[in-house]
Amino acid sequence: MEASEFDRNIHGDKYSIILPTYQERDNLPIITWMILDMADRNNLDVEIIVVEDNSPDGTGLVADELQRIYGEKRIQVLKRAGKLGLGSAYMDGIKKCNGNFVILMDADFSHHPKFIPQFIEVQKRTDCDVVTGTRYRKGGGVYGWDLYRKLTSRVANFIASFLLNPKNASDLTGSFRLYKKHVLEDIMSQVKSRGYVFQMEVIVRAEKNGYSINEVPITFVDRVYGESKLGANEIISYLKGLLGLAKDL
Amino acid sequence: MPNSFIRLGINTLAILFVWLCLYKIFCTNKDNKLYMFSLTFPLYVIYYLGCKAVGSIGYELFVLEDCDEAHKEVQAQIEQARKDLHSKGFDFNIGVQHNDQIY
Repeated sequence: MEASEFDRNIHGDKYSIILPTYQERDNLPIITWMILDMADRNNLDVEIIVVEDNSPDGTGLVADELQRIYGEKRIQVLKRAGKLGLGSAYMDGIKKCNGNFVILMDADFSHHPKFIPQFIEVQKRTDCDVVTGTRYRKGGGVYGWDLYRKLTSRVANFIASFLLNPKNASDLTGSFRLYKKHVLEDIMSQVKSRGYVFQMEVIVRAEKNGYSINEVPITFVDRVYGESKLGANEIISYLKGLLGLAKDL
Repeated sequence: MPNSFIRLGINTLAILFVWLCLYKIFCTNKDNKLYMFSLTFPLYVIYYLGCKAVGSIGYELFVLEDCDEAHKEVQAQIEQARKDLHSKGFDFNIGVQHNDQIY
């Protein structure tokens, strides 16, 4: 691909990145910087929408401070009353998007913004509706996972694949994706589940609705700051949610 | 009717049908070589599926790559981000609650 082709934004594409945050005062400035630095270096028109659920640690003030530095055109802060869930965070965030593409990712740099240009390149080349990052294909990978964590992830993905039978999505629970805005809006109106299952439902509904999906291998660096949560309760609620989703499709 | 449940139902019926055929053909007398196999056919199916599952999960586990360079890259960028934000006048301590209370 020619450099000039990629550098000039002939189509005027704008990419809205929705970052739901809760207790992320340490991570938010860094991830914001990383995203905007990537955007500058790749000549991309990017805006970040921080969906802040009234964190006790002052994340809201951090978001305001970032907006002060980077400007309202690049950073929007949507403040909500409390922890209202990831799905509703996305739905509220989409309403504020000015872009024609929406990128969903985690705010704790488990997802690296450097993959966004790769997502965009694939999308432009194939004009697909969704680009999803996968940890499980060649070129992807994880950091910070011991054998137990890898095992639970693979088993979870296996069971989900068995029940939901996706066509070519290898990472169902992945949450680093690029969508055409109208596609995401359409899917979100159909999605009902919460928690881990939410991400799976989004990608599976995208397939069932006939939207085209492409994958890009990504590296997943697990939780530089903060704790990971994966206990027996999570496993049970995951299975229950998965069965509920399988019944619903 | 949910798609995956339909699939499951059809597969189960297929297995039961094959089992019935095997039973009718090979379970007429106890000395037939395939007597035990035909009698317990579904167990072999479950065993086969179990092997496939273990194999699949084992293979995926084997090829799941570790990416140490990615971690190092992130660490370096965190430092870079901190410096740059600091130079832009970003207040890292905004909104931090101080717990020094006087009793």
